[in-house]
Amino acid sequence: MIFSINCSGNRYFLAYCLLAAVLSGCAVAPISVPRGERVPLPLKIASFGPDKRSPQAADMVTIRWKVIATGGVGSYRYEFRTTDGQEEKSEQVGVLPTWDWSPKVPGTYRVKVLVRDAIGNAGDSGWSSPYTVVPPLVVSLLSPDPVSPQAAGMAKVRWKVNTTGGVGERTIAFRTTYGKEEKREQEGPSLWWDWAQQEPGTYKVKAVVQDAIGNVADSGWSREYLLVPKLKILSVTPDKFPPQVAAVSAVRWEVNETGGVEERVYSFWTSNGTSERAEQIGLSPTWNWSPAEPGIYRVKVAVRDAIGNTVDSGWSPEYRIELTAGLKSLIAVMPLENLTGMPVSVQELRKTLVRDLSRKGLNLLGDDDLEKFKERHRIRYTAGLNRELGEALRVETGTDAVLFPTLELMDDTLPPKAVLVARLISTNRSTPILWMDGAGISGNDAPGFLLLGLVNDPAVLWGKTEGKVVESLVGYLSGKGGQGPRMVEKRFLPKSYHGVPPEVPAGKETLSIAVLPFRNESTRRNAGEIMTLHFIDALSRAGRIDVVEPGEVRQVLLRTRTIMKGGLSLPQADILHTALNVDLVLTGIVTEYQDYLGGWGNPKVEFSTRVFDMKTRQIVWSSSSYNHGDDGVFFFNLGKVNTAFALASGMAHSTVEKMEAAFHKKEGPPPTAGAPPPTE
Amino acid sequence: MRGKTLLHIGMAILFVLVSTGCATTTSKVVYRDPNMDFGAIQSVAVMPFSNLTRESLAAERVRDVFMTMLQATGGVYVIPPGEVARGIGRLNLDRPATPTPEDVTKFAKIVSTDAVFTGTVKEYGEVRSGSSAANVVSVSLQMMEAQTGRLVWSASSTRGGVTTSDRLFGGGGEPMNATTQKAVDDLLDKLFGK
Repeated sequence: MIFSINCSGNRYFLAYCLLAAVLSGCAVAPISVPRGERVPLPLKIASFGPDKRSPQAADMVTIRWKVIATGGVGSYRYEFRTTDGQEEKSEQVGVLPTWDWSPKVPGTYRVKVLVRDAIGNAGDSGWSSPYTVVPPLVVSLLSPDPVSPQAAGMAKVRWKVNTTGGVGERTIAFRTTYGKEEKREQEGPSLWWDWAQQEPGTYKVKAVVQDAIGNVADSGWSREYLLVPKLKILSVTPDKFPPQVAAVSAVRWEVNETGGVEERVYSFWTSNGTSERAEQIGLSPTWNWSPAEPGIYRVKVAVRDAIGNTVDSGWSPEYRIELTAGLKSLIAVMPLENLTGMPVSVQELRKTLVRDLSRKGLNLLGDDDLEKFKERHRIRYTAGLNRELGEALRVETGTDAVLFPTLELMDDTLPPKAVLVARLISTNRSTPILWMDGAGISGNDAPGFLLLGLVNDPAVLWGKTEGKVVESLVGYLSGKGGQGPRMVEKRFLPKSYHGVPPEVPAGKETLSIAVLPFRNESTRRNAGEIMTLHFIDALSRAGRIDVVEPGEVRQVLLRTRTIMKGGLSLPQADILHTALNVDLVLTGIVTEYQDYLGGWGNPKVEFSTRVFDMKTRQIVWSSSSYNHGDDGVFFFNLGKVNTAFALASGMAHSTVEKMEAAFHKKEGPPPTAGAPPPTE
Repeated sequence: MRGKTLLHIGMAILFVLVSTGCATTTSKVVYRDPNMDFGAIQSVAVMPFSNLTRESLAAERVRDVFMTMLQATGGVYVIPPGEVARGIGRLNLDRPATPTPEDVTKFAKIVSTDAVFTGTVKEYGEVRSGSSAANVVSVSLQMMEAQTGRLVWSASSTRGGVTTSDRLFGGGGEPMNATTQKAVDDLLDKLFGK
């Protein structure tokens, strides 16, 4: 119709239409209202939601809900509403399209928003999906166990936290502060932390907990926790050097310690190798020890502080308590053992010995009592003492010690020679060798000017020999004479030797040794027994070697029927080890033991030794020695040795010195009273 | 005159050469099995030695010195003589100084050893040469491997005897023990490859 009007000539109208069509060609075609006005779109909620996903912790987070509305007329007003399933609440009304929600109460909520436009049109988002608000993350530090104070490095303090709320898994970080610095200690899911602080000081501890979505809670610093210095024993020292005498000496042990909490209790312990005994427990750090029994002891101290921390000094080095005899001790003098290989009137010689001993004021057991005892016990062997006989002698006669004199040489030809060896054995259970000495004198030992010093009378010489031994014994009994090691002469050192330290139980410093009779391959009768005595003498003078009394060794050899053909075999060594309970066994061969007769000649001694380590069943020492009396003599017989006794004695002492050096070469210096024992 | 002096000097040299002709010298004769690993030997047993001398204890003496000195080298462990005696007794060996290879293997098992030494003392004592006298020791040793009993080492040594100085100036030579030790020392040198 219009087109037909245009065609009919209304060209202005056609031009308007064309212009309108061109101008509106690109526009969206709205609903046209009359006269060009637009119709508003309906009010709609385009989006509505929180900025943080559910769940969240109450009182720890602010959740922003945001709404975008479209349509409607004019400005909007929003009303945010919540419901916990029971109650619906209007939370915020206003023009703001956002709402910052800080939920205080845990629960499951739903949120919705109502939007109104300027002319009252309303839009409703509808209830959101459930939004969970969990309880807030809370952490508190419980009291530590154990409570303050404690000793640093000794106590393990358990710190425990109590934590609730939050979302998901929690990570607990323990932190300490010592003054200003804060230190992170343990971090992880564990609710406790075992604190083993080595440094003393005053500490504070706190725990910081973080949940899975990053919520953090802090326990705050704990109260001050005091760690005092570690309880430590610095030294345990006796006031006297070992060895000391049983039933006579009093040794004061003192412990020096540091650290720990408040009052300390000291426990002093002794060990004799077989059993341990608590000697004193109390608040005193000193202990006066009066050992009654001889033996090798070790002492340790345990210190406990007020909160139960205990520290142990460890066993001290060996402390020897020896038996001794005094001038008042009752001594039995056994018959003289004759090792000369010749008939000698030993009874007469014994009489002179006993007479001299009596003159010196020694308390000797009467001959009648001794004879009765020997008869009673059918004693035939009188050159040694075993434990049973020693005990019986002590109980039945009250004898404290037994003197065993041995005649090694009695040569009446000019110049005469005499050798006497004696040893004193205690009748105590362990029959220790208390003293041993010998004297070997030749008439031409000191001829002097124009041979005026030559001794030609055997009786005079015997008197000198026996007098020397008696002097030495009296010196020992009166406490004047020591039994120290003899001086070692270089010329008497073994010609070849080899030694390795034996294997002994840890901490054991004193080795026990049994000396078996030497095999005699010399022309001298009894040379095997004589060499055994020389080694017993030399070994008993050595500091850290305990020698088993030969009487005890003989008893064991007889009881076990040990015949050492060709030497000691390993099965025999095992038997001896079991019976004697010794660490080492010394065996040897004497191939030469020769004194000379008359005024000219030269004594000769040759022997070899071997020491078995009973633990490893191996030889740990072997040596070969030979010497002549004039070895190392160049001018006028100065330094010449005239008896095989003196020669063998020097050689045995030299061998033992080298042996001891080889046995202890791994260890440090010998223990001293002043040196603190190892602690802890 | 000059020719006479030269003659005297020549005679003196000749005398010295003749007189030293009897002195002992070190024998270098040693047998050593080239296939044997001597380093593998850790323990040895020394059997009683044969004694070809008039001195009844010569063999035991030399053996004792040898055992001690061998142990003293620290190179090997020497089985104690008592243990050796036990092994001999167990096998009931008639002649322990000269064991057969079978005896050696059996014996070595009993005493747990890697090698067995046997020896012979050929001379032990005083020898005389004119008016001079001196001690002499002559020893030969053999070592047998324990597993097969075969001989792996053998050597001998002679020490002592009358020397030139003994002839010229007299003196009885060295003591027997010192001579023995020198002979054993020489054998140990040969054993350890010097």
